[in-house]
Amino acid sequence: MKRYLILEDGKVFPGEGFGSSAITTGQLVVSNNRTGIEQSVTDPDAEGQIMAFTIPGVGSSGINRDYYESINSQCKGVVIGSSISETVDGSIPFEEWVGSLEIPGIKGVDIRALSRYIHDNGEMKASIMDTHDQHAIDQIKALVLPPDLVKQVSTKQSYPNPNIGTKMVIVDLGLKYSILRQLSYRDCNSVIVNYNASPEEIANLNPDGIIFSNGPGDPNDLTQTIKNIKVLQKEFPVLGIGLGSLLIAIANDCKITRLTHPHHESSLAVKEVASGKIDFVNHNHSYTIDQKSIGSSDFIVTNICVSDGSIEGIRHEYLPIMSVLFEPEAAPGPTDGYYVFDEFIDLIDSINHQDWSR
Amino acid sequence: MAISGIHNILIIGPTNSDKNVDLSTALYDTADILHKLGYKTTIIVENPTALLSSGDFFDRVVVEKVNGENVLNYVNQFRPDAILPTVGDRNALGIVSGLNGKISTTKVLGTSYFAALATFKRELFISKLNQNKLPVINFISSDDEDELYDFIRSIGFPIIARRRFSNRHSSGWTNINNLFELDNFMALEDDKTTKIEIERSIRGFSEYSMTVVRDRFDNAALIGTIEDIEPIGIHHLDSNLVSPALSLNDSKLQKLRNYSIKLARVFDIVGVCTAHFALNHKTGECYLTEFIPRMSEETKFLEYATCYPLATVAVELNLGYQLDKLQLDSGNSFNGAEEPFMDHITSRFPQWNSKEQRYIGPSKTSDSSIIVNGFSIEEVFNKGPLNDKLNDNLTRYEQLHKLDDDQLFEKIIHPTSWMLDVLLEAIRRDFELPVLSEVTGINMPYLVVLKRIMENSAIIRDDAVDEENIERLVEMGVKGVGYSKVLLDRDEIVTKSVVKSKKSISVASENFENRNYFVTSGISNDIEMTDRKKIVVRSPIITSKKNIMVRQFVLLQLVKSINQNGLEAVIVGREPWSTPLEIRDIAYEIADPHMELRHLNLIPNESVFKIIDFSETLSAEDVENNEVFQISSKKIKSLDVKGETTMRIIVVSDGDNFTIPSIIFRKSINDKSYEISSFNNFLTQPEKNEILEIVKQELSDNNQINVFNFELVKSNGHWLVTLISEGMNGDIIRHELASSVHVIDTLVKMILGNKFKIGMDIDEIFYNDDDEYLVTINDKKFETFDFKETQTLLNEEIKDY
Repeated sequence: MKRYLILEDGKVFPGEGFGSSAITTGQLVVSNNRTGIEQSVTDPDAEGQIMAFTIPGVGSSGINRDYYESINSQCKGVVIGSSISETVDGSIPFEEWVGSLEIPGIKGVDIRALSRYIHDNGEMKASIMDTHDQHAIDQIKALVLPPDLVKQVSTKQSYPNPNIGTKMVIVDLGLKYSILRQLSYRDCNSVIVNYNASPEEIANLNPDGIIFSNGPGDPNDLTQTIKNIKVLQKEFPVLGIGLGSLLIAIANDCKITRLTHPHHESSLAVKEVASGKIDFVNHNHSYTIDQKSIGSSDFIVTNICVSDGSIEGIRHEYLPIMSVLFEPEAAPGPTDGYYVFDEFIDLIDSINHQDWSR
Repeated sequence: MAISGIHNILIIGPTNSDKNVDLSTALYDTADILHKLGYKTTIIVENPTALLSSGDFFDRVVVEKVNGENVLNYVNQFRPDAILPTVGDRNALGIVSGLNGKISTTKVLGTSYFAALATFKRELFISKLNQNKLPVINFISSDDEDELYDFIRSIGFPIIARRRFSNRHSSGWTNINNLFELDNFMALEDDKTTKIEIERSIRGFSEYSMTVVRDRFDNAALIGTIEDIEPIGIHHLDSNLVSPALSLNDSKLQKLRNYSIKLARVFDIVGVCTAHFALNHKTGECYLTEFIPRMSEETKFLEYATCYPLATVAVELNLGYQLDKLQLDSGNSFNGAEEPFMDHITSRFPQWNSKEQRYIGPSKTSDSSIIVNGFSIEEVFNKGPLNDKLNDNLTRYEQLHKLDDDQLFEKIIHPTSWMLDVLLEAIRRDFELPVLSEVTGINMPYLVVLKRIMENSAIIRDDAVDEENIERLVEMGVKGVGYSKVLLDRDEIVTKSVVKSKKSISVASENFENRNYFVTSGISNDIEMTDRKKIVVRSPIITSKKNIMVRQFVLLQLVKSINQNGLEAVIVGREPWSTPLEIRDIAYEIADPHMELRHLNLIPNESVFKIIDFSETLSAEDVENNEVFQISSKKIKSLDVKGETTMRIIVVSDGDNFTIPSIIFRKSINDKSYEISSFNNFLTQPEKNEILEIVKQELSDNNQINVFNFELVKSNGHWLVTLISEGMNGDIIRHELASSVHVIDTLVKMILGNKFKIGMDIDEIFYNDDDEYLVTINDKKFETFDFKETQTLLNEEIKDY
């Protein structure tokens, strides 16, 4: 069935529909992930997004439910160039899988042209529709995307991920399961809480450290969480990942800016400033921390993106606060960033809570 | 920054690269960047005519047999600061592995002695991998029959076996499924120094290769992944290859990536390393089967697939540069810390010179390859192995059509070079895909793609192309099977499908000075052109499998010359993949440059000064069009006369006057033949007069600018013309190397409207002041002599010249 991907500025990309035949609208994000479509589609970061995957021949590697990053899919639509209707491991074919998730999909799109268009014109809203008349374009323009994306994906109730090691509280801003996988691998005894869980509620859990997770949307919308960070960072070691990292920066009076070319790529180089070591890690963020505002804060830059020089990691000069904008849990992407979890646990181990807290 | 103390580098060249364009371009790119960075280079090479460069490209060319003794002699005599063995073939690594402790302070770049040795000694490779907990198949190498049989009893059948000879070469692997086959293999005669190597067969596993780069600071990046469509059991270079490896999910990809980087660390490879893997998708078993710590066919393929300049990066890493601080030349830096992303599929398909089916197996049989780009597997299949213009698939179809089912099944069980055609025919007969997958070891997604192609071809056969399916057909690459005219009515579809230009490196981008755009995904898809007049260099629609080296040489020299003469060269066609980095940036890959150039409107018509075309035949439209210059070789005259003394001369004509800048003399004495270059300098005045008269007479009707190749035989004391052709033939590399006059540049100057001086004297016509002469013995052994030595050779060996 002929369908159209329509951008809010009126640009139309025709293709063939698959999956759900519903009309859908969302923020269009072009992803250069090499693999792991099931991870990307189920990543809570994808809430409210139509994801365009530039990888060719989608689907032949198969779909593995064990790699999901949340129980259900989060994204609003899937755009691809070409797909393959059979898998190497006999698992469910890609298009059938997208259908089973009731996500609208469109294939046969000139994905290179689309990707280039977004590169040149910036991220924007888009719809997958059956027609491409002016009325459809007006509808997209008029639609306001919901601002409370984190609210949609954050856990409503706290739940444990029990183990015998370091006690962690994870503030769920759109938590990927792979963060839990990495913590479990390190025997961490974790409790996952709602994004607006109060500092008291978290303190009552008596954690050794707190992780503010990745998540979707604009960090400036999360005013309460930012306030909570201001309190908690004085009491506990803190690690921020993705959105969590941006919130830590805002809580410490650093400015946030939108990247001219957002990072949605499963393998992009970051450099550790101190050692010069280069790692390839998964990126999925549209914002970064303003370089100038770091200078007047108590933070130092620990990691930068090799390609565009944007900040990818900061650390407090004397408090045990570290944060990275990239996704150290990978999923998908190279596993070079796993060390971040080890460093955070080492940081927790190396300090005496009673000695430094004020 | 680079490690200090290295100024002079000895490059160990390939033993015989006349068929190996991959290594030649890597060698060219390597020497080019070394030159730009101010290093002095010497190359030791057996066949200087197999280099993709003119004579002055290297600081010194040593024409010798490429072996340990000659390398050691050179090192002892000239004391280079470093040896670079990674752009030679496997032989270069063998030489290096034998130099340990013999070359004093001269460093070895790119690989270690140990790594080089481990590429030959399987036991060393396996023990190192076992030590470092990398997955490897256990193996035995022994000349003791009892020991071998004990080992086989412990692992069971099937196994693979090969003989390793004392000169480090080996027979190809043989599949052995039972005791009977084993006894037959063991019964083959061999000398006592031959060892037999045996390992568990992983036949049927899927094969992948990963290429990583690593700097001396231990930063490493995965540059590309390749998947073999055929399973283990068929030689990697006889398999149809696809990049990126589409069938790896994230978990498998990261596992193989981590193994590859760990492998490079274990062997301390600073530069480039390709690791091969066998993976069983059903059981999850995975083994490292091989590693290649040098430039190779894979690296060349990935360079084109990803636009990542691997040869340039590798040699800079060898020299100690940091991955994110590399140099394009002495002024411009660029960032190599990228894991290139591909929004397209690039495939390498083996090609055989023979039109007949050939059985394929563990030993390589293919003669060359072609590389194509597309956005889907269907598209690359249709452009490559199923492209009738390349492979004569319709004839194959007719032959396979005549087989009964049992005969066809035999072809499926015993794979041949027609594998995909055989499978298409089987699918046409409704053979079950899972059965075909089980028998061939080819993964289901590829068979499903073939089924789609089969359905698609039915649409074309039934002439049912319509508005509904035309777009799908184009996406599947049906242009490659000759439906351009139908499809060209829809410009927007054509543009979408065929333009695959890619930019390799972009420095000093306005916003991000350190950003490189290796990838094509939405970044840089157009060639940036100046406002200079263009000369479009068009490669043929039908890509010949032969003489790739010659075509690439001419292409490179043409482009250089066009640019040096103040115009801008743009290459369009099928073959930009085999060009050096220097000109890959100005290449558009277009399947059918003749039909499509106008429609795609890539280059404004008014800015095109000339089109230089490599096709064997021009279209009627082109023939009428004065703008098109045909550069391919075309026979004008032929006479069947043979003789022991012959000459091949090249003539450059401006339509009125001509020069003869290079003559190759050949004489056969008994069983030996000698060829001497730049023979202009040994001709007597009467001989020059005689040749001049012959050429004048033969070209008396010519009023065209072109080069002409004359072959003459000495008969009864006089020279007799036996063959005349116009355009570039296989001798051009030799003529260019041997002549102090740049033949191709001279031709370009004439095309641009220059003329030879009227009334040139005979010495000006035969001008060639080369002082080094290339002597070839029996077409194989190349030696360089000076004038005196050559004269002595002529007087003493080649008597009565």
